[in-house]
Amino acid sequence: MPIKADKMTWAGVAILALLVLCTILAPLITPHDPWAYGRQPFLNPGRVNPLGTNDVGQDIFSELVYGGRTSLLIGFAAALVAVTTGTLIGLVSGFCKGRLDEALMGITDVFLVIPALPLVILVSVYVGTSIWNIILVIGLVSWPSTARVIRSQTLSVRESGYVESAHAMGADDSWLMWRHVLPNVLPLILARFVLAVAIAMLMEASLSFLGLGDPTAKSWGMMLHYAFARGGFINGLWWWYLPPGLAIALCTLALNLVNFGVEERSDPRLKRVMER
Amino acid sequence: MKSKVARIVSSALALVVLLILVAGCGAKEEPTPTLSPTAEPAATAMTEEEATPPVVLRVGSTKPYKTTNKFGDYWYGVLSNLTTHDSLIKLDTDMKPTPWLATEWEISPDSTRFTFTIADGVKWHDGNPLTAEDVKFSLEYYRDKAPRSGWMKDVIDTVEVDGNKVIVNLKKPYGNLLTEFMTYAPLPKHIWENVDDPEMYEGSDMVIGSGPFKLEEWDETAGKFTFVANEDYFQGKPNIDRLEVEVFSNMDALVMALAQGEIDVWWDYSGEFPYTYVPTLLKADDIEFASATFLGVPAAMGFNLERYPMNELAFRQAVAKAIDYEQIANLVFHGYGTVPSYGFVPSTHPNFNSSIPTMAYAPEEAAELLDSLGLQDTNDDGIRETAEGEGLVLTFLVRSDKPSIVRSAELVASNLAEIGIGAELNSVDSSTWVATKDEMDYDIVFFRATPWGTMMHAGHGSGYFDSRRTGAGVLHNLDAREYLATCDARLSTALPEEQRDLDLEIQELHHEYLPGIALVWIESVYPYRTGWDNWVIDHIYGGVVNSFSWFQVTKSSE
Amino acid sequence: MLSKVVRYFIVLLVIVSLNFLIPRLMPGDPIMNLLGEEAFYGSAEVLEELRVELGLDGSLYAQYVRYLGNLSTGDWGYSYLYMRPVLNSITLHLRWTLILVLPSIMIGASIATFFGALAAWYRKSRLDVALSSMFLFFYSMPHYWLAMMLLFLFGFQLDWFPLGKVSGGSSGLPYILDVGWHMVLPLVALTTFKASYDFLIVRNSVVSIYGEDYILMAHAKGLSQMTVLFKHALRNALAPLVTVTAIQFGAILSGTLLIEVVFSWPGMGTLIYEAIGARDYPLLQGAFFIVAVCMLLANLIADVLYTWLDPRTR
Repeated sequence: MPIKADKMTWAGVAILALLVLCTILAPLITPHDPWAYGRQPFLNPGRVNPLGTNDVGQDIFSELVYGGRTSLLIGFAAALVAVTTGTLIGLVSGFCKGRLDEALMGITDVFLVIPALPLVILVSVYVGTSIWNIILVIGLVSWPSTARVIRSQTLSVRESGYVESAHAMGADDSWLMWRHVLPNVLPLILARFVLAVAIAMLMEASLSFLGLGDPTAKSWGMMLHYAFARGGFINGLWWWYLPPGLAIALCTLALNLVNFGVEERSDPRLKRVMER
Repeated sequence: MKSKVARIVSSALALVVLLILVAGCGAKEEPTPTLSPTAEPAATAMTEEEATPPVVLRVGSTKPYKTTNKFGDYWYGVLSNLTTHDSLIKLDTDMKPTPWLATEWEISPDSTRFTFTIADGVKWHDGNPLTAEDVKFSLEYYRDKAPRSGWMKDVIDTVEVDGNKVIVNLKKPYGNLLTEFMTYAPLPKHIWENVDDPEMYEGSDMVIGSGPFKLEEWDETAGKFTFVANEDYFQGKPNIDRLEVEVFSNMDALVMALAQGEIDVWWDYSGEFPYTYVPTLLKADDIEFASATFLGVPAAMGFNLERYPMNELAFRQAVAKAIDYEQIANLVFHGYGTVPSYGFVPSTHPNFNSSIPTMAYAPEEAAELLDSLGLQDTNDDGIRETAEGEGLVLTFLVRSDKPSIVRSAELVASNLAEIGIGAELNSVDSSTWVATKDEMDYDIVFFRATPWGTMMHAGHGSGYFDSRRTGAGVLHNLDAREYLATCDARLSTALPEEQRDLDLEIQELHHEYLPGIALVWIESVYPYRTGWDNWVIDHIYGGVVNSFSWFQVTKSSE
Repeated sequence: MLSKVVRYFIVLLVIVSLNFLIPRLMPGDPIMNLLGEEAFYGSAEVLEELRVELGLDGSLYAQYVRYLGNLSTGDWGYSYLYMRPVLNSITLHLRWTLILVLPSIMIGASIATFFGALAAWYRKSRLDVALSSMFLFFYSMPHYWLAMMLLFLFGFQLDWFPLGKVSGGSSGLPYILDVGWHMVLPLVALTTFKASYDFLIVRNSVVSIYGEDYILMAHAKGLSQMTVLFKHALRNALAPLVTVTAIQFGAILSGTLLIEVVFSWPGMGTLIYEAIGARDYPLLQGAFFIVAVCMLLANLIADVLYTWLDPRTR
């Protein structure tokens, strides 16, 4: 019975691998340099430009493939920032309890209560729109939910029998944390990471749509931004606005598929069910 | 049992229904109070109107109107200048001052005394007559109460009334007074003399002017202004009976509405019609285009003259030669652009200096100029280095909310890369752009010059470069004494021949000092529904929708 | 319970202070925005006058003290973007957000509950895979992209629905119907998104109680699958959905920002977005405050509801 869960996970992994491979092989599979000008704007798809050209004559297909690099990079990097920060805080908070826990959770609460997108807009206005700033900003907004989840998991593991007994036997706190708690929390961290990538990619798309992305970076979000701002939608140039949106959706779908399976393994209640 | 769930669900649904009902009753914002029509009997006009259907013009606009207070809302202020209010003079299609509320004017030989004769028989919308007293009051009111009219404090000394004449005494000669007065509408003294804080005023009589239209209603929820023709207008009733201005949040919605026949014409005061929408309109039925050479510069770049190497004239000249202007005109402005000259402003301006050479794409010459400055690519990484060995990478400051300017900046960056100059685009939102620009925290800034902007200060774009100017869109980067002196000289004369010489001189100075480069001059297009004819183009107020058109445009019956 | 309220209150205080600080940290001067792009003349005294009028004069600390004082007397300040008191603008926009969001949450939750339960019950069947894939797909796409495509297909191409805003201007019953007509597309976009998210929650939750003893008992009693599902399993599985819904309610106020932008819907999202652009500090402060209060309330309610609904935590 767990086989089907694996099927979804593997489907997701396969799609992701394919997409990542395409972006890595970008120079080989794209007919043009996406930054090169030279053709006419608003060309229909044809032999020279498989997906036509955008508002300044650049090849859309090449933009799409290279754009994947940026979008995936931002997604994975931001997720890394978010999950690393969140895990650290969650672990420390759940393990150490007491006043440190209260303080950390207070900070987490504040961040959770401030609405994400407006905060991202605010901060990105402040720090500027380079790719690395965007990564930091998205990571900054996403760590609290991970921290919360990791903390509750840490708490329940901490209360479990063998940790208590190890503690009674005089084991050092930090040793306990790394050797016993962390491995048990790991599946959850993985699940959160996958989710965070999806969220980060969608957030980058939202930021870019609002014009707050990096204009020189050819991310899928920026493609959608220009498609909207420079007449792609209204002129009916579906070859311009559909592919980037579909690409984001496909990527996020793949990540969610992976998460589907991973979550079933990591959530202890679901695990129980599966083992019946 | 199921009851718990059912209870929650049903109460939630009830709450939702209740909310919608409440919303329906209360949500509709009270439209701005309707002005009761004047007591003037309109019996005769009535029968005529019953015979022919009223002429209704529906205008689309994307500006963020918030109130109907001329002082508080910048955009409504502009709209009111075309509709509910008049100015003393207006600039016609040929950019010449034309009598309006002032039937004639006299300028003293030393340009410090302007005498305006106010037309007879002008009435405010509430029936009171418009007199020279109102004009005097208005000028003083603007000077004292309106932050945007701060210049008046420096320039205007006293205002006197002599019968139907208004005499403006200046502290110093000011040649631009007529142009400036184009944007100031006389206000009814009997209403505003009791208002201490014009921007926050909310009385229903704040919309009263003397103009060809009266504001009947502003429906904020629907985003629509409804104006009706002023039957007693001193120049005669306008050709349009009802003017509806519909506000859209974005251009896509506006163009859709135009294509589908829900509005008749587009209007934007300061910008050009984005060419990316032209294909859709070309495909739609019954859309025609008027066109005119745009008075402003839709995309331009300015140098930070405080930093190296922008402070070297040879460097700026090299940059000017390195840009492929035709490429920008074709790719960003889809063929509606031409290559500008070094003078900065296009030929629509009076006293255009046609002897200034047009710019040209000459990358080899640009490279030579850079070599002569000692900027060579010493380590073969494709980027030239300065004498200290630093890679030459310039920061480009760009506003993120103007995609055509962002695209232009990208193209310039790619052009410069070919001659070994690197570029980093700093794309920020408009408030940040203003702050960063004012702190001179950039190497090259990308901006646009609006039609009115190019007329400001000493004209011909000098308002953007003169280092003594301030303003959200202004560069204030050139402080060469010769330039400032020429601007001052131009400002202090009202004699046409002197003005002409100085206008030519200013454009020549733009060529000599190169504080900024115009990236393109465009043929602006103004789309409208078939059936409307005889539009008049007003370069300052944004094309076909303007005060002149109200009296010329006709609608052929279908 | 009390400690929770106390903690939330402390968070609120911190938020209030952050509300003041964060907008002012952004580069950009609101006065410049007021004067407009072409205000080429602004002498120092004139600008200072404007600053005093808008309460932007003095040191940051002086402004902070003024802000706290005003807040405690209920004075939310004056929005210079909308030229009216902040509270007015907020209530106006809040109303429109609620009109759009509440139905979408309800409808979305209902759809999700029904299909999520089904999918979980027939776990791993073709029905489950089909439903899960479909909802996952809708969950994965950028929701503003879906919104734009709805707008362009049904609004522009087919001309079935208006192209944005809340109404074309009318009053009384026609007005309510007009608003309803304008509401359809944004509602569909928002509901799709919420339904797909909720679906995953419900499915997960129902799956997790699948093996519980009382379910086995119900089966043993001979009740039909449907009865067991909808009468017994669901009511216990709904706890997470309710919590999520409560939290969603708190997050809606700005979560709909992009949908509002696409449909020109004048809700809280639009308000916040425009206020950020114009650096309208009072408006931003007020808006973030409301949002924070709603989120905190929602979290509190969610916590309470969860313990009340989930028998296992009693």
